[in-house]
Amino acid sequence: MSFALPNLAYDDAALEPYIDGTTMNIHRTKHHNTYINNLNGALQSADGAGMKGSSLEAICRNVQSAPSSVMTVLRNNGGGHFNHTMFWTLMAPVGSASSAPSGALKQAIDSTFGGVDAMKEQFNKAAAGRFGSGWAWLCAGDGGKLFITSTPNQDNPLMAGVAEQPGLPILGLDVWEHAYYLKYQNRRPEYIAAWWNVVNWDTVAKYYDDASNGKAPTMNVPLQ
Amino acid sequence: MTTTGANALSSGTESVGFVLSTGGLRPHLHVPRTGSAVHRLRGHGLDQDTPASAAAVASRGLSRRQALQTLLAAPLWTLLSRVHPPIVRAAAAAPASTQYQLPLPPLPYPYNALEPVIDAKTMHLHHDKHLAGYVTKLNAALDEQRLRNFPAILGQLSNIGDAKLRSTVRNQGGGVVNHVQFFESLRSPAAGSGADNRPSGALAQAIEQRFGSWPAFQEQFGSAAKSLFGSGWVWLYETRRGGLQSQLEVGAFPNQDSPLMNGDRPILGLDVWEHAYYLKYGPNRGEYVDAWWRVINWPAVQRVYESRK
Repeated sequence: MSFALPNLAYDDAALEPYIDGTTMNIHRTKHHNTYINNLNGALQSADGAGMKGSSLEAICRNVQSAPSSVMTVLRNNGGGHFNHTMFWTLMAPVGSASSAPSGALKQAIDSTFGGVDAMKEQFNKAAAGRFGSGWAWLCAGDGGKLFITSTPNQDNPLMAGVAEQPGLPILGLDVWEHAYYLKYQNRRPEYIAAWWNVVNWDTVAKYYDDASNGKAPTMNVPLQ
Repeated sequence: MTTTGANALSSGTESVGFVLSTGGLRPHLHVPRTGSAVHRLRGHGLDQDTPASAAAVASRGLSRRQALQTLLAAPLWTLLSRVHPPIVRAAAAAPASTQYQLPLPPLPYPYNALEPVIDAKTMHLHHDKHLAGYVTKLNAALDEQRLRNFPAILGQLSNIGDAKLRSTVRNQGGGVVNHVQFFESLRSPAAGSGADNRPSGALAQAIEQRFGSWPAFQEQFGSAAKSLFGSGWVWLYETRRGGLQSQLEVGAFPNQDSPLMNGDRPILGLDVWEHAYYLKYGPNRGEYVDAWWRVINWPAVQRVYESRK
């Protein structure tokens, strides 16, 4: 059994005009798919055999204890597969999901950041300020307290011992240039602002619920 | 005689690059043999619609005279020191009427000169947005004293106590030196011998000696460029570890890090940030790396290598 490329719950072009269809296609079928192929390759190798059968979440959590010969490839490609799998679920065509947080999640955002706008401002800063490639995250930490952080390359907050601020991610944004360059070129802040329009707050609420129970986001991770 | 900034600079007679000497960097000054200095200043596009003009315009809000003084007063920008020495001295002696700022050096060629290997739109963005952004942010972050010590300051980052400032100088300052040297190291694919575009002279010998053969060097450099994860550069650089003979090395540098930050001398670099190739090559970085060999300006790179103390 090996990891398979997840499908989108919507068409490639369904997030237009905020994220263009060509980017969605290349992003998933080329970039994400490459991480999956490399991850599968590492798990087939002798040194990776110990992690074979592990969940994607476990691979990320345990990156630091992997054999040194496969640690980097598991970190980069296990992280890449996790991050992108989560990313596709966090977006939805306008009008097909809640466009704002509500309930317990909204309360947590209000009490932690002083409001949704204030939270977005901090998130935007983290996303724009991540130099080079990486991701920005809204996470739940100790006691379920929300915080915002960013990670380089394909690291994520699940990676204990690797992530500067470990936690349970509930919302993430890809700020690698491949995520926005075709439509936005160097204008990353414009991409970040546009992306909020397609955030699926129902999914974020689900992941917040998971985090409140001490769990990482429960996602469908298809195998073949 | 007037020529556009692009034409004047693409003639191949000018030399480029930063020069390492003991004690840090000094600019490599090459004085052109022909043409009037005034026309060359005009050729830097201060009154024309060229990449150079865009560059001067990027030092925003300055009058033409102020922009000219700023360009000439900058110690580092070898592209901008292609002027008759008396003009440089005169400008330097004139009172500075604006805050000291590093200028944005113009591209040494038209935006489409590297087609079809690197597309014109990428060159526009890469120079006018990405490099310009690094220049602007570095100017905003550093006071005059530190700006005048640029890029030597990149070899002394640990002297910057404030972590945030140190990070800014590393990232934005690295972005500046990397891109300036990169643009200088490229030329039209027609100017080289196509797929077999290669160095000659002392650099060719040194590469052969260090890596065994030209194909072996290409393989090592290309492989590093294709496998670098995330954003970064691959550099052929020269180490100068005290007492030991200098040695050529190939290394991968994340984000905008530079061999200068280790006290080493960058010779030839390749930008593998996605912005360097994504519009034309999409995710196919390998194709971009393989094609890039065709646009290396070997005479310019050789001059960088040979200008050593």
